[in-house]
Amino acid sequence: MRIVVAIKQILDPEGITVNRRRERIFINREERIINPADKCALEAALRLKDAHGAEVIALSLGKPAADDALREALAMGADSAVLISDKALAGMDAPTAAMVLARAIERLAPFDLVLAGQTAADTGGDQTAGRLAELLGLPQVLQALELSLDGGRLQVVRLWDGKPVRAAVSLPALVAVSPLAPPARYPHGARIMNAYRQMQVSVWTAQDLGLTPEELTPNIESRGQVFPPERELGTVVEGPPAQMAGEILSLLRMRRLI
Amino acid sequence: MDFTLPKEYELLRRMIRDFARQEIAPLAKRVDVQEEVPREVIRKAAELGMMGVPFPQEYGGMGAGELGYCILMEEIGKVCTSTATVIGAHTGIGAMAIYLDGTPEQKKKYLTPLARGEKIAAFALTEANAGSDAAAIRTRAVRDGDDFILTGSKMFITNGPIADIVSVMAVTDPSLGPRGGITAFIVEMDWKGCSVGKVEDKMGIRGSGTSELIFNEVRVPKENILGQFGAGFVTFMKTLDVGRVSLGAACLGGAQAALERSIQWAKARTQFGKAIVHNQSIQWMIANMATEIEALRSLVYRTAWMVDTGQPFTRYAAMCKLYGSEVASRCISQAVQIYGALGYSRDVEVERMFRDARIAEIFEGTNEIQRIVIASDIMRQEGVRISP
Amino acid sequence: MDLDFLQSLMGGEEMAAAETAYQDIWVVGEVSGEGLTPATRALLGKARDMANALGVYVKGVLFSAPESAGSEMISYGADTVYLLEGAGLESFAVEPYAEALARQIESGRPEIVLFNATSLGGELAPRLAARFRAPLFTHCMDLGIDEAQRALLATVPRLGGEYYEILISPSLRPQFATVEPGVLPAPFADPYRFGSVERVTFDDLPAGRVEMLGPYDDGLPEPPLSRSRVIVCVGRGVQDTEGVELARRLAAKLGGQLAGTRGALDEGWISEEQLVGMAGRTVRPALYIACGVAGAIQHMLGIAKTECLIAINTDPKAEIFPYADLGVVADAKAVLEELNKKLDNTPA
Repeated sequence: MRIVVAIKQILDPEGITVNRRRERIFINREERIINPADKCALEAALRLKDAHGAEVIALSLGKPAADDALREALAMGADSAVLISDKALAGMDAPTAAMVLARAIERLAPFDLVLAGQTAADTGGDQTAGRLAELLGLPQVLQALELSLDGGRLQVVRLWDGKPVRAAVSLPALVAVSPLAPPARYPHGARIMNAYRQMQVSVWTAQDLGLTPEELTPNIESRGQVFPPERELGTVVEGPPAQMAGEILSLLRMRRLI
Repeated sequence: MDFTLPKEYELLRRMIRDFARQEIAPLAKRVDVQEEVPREVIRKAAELGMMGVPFPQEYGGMGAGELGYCILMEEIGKVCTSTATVIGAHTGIGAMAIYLDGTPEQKKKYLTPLARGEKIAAFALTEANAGSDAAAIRTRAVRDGDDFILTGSKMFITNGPIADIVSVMAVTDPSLGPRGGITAFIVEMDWKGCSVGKVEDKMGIRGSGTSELIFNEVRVPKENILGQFGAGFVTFMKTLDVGRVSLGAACLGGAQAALERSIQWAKARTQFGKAIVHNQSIQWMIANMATEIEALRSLVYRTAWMVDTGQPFTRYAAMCKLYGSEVASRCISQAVQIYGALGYSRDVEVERMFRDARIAEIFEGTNEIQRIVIASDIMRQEGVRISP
Repeated sequence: MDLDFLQSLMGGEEMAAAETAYQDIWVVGEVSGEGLTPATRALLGKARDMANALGVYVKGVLFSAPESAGSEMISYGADTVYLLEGAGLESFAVEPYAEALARQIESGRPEIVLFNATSLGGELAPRLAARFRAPLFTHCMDLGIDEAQRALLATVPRLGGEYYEILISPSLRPQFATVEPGVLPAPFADPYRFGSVERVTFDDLPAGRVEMLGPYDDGLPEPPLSRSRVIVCVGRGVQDTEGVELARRLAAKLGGQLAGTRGALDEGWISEEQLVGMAGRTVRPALYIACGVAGAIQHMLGIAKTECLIAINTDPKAEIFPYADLGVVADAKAVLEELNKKLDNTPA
């Protein structure tokens, strides 16, 4: 079984703080990590590999620094890694990025399963998986929590509007793994050493994928950032319990917490 | 001159840091109170290769050298000194002796399961009458045919209660003294005659078991002579030497943790209408701690590099241990001060860290011995011989 | 206004340019037990405002829905509603749904297609967007129109909502967007609004290749407290195990977990794993309800990254109140009881 896992390297959101009053974003600690949902996708692939044997190929579209993300994937147990990196690919928007990834995945055919993280923790983007499924002509299962293989059929526990449900699909298919799926394993130390010292990461350019400049022109623009108002703290209310319960529920509804 | 850490070591550090934070840190208090590092933690660490970091992959190790090992000890030292001590005694001196002076057969038989964490190692040198004066040990190994009969007892042995394989120093010829009269042996604790004696009730690192090891006419085959017969002194000096670097790294971790907690606390604690971090006295304390930690960091990692590149490092290793233990004690004590009364409560990590830190100035060669080692090395270059 | 009628008035060729232009705002709606979902209604209200600014129509789309839902869409602002039905559309399957919607979009050529950011929207929108090589803005917190460029302005959340970015696609059409449920204001229905509901039947849709097998009943493992989104914390102020039980039930209703302070641990009400604070876990939930918690610094250090803190305490001078989004001076146990009662009475 051949599994392609698409991963993205992001700046760790934990190292970023937003000052709402000054309307500025501060990078306190610049650390690059694998997008958490993508790491869950890698873990899902590796669990299938442990249970049934599989070749796991890690794929990433990014800057040269994304090599580290792929080394980490190799250290976790991926068998090979491909980095799509090219100056021509700088500043892509979501539709273009999905198109480039699809082109690369096609080049990795044949494959049985494509896995990707459902959401990017930095941009909040969650359309790539669905776009890939359409471009590759694959059935899709999104928001997946657990995957298991039963004959040639993939059994998936996934979230549907927040509730867990079961789904099944025959391979080949594309599955987007939720960031709420089981967290990824730690990479074994010896494999960390070997991922850098012995293994290779293939690098593909825009030319390798036959991409033209017209295809790569971004179409989406940013019109700037908006900052939510600062949290107002210290409001205190007093009254009979029933009324107080009502106040609390109002706040929860207003904040869309229930 | 490139001071950047090679990428594989950055990833290694991140992996260990995450593991330490998620698997070890939440248990640190329990480890102290229940006086045990859970076997489960050791197993998980072993599964990731953390019990054999410096050893070559052909012997089940991680192949990350002294540099990788110092990274491990720093990150674990940040969250739990007891766990760092268990791993340190196991990897840094117990298994290390076999790595440095073992035959290929001994490495295959003993180093491999130790590197994989399948068995636990200890290093047995100290006795009731032989602490700093290591050459005064009295445990006897008497030749009997091809074997040796080992009789005696060792004291204050880290991992004593849980060790499977122990590197033991014994007198093989009382007339020769340390030069020629002491031999190192690899002893399996499930052999007849081996037992664990008194377990120490310690001020700190209470999760690390420290005990007496008793050898009552234990038959040790000649295949288990570690290093040259009669050259045990050299074996144990070599081992303790390199062990000091990673001990310095563990102290670095403790000091760093103290600094981070001090900053976190100073930002949160308000007195006289503002966070205490705005007091100049607190800022100076933080600056002093940070400066010493940077100096220690440079010292430790440069020394690790010297070890990995085959350069002489004895003096610098002693400095790592000497300076590391003192910086850790100072920083942690300072952290307790910054916490104020709360720093004295067992609810707070720095209280435990304070008790845990004290031993570093004493074991693995007291800081007085370290000063002698440093001075001797300096004087040797000056053509002056110092005797301890 | 019927475009075809205009065309016939003004002659075929001059309108050729208009024929290829994308126009109108579509809303792909969802139906629950009582008609349109509240999110669909809100989306229609917004679509109506934007359509008025652009001078175009609002068209609704529903899958396998009753006529009444179509009428409801009209009352909330749609001019035309397409009820898509046929073999394969009886229950959600992304491939036949996407195909049906795509064909409808091809013939109708909307400039903007809006979905709710529900699982349905999340499944359909990316596939449609890829199919039309079109932009998609997901989880929008607000929508607007740039009149100069006649384009959608989408406000999307970044870093989990710590700030927002406004995006625009000046030229590509259609523009797809999914909107976060509950962010748009509830609109008013106008039962006298005029519009048409059309049934569109498909008989040759591709089969869906994903089989939906029903709810997963075995229960998923609880995340560790440090990853919990909702936490209800008990301090000594909940008084007794009854209070703790009320807190536990509230946590369950809110899809969260129970935690406690050092005081609660000492009373034996919680386990060590549930302790939050300096000596316990550090948490970062979206919601933290502190019941009978004084707010000593040892505890507060553990919850510094809470997004919304609600504190209930009988002492108006409790240390925790200055740090809370809402402080309630009342008996925690009594309020917990009321909260549980009210949540039991609210329909899901």
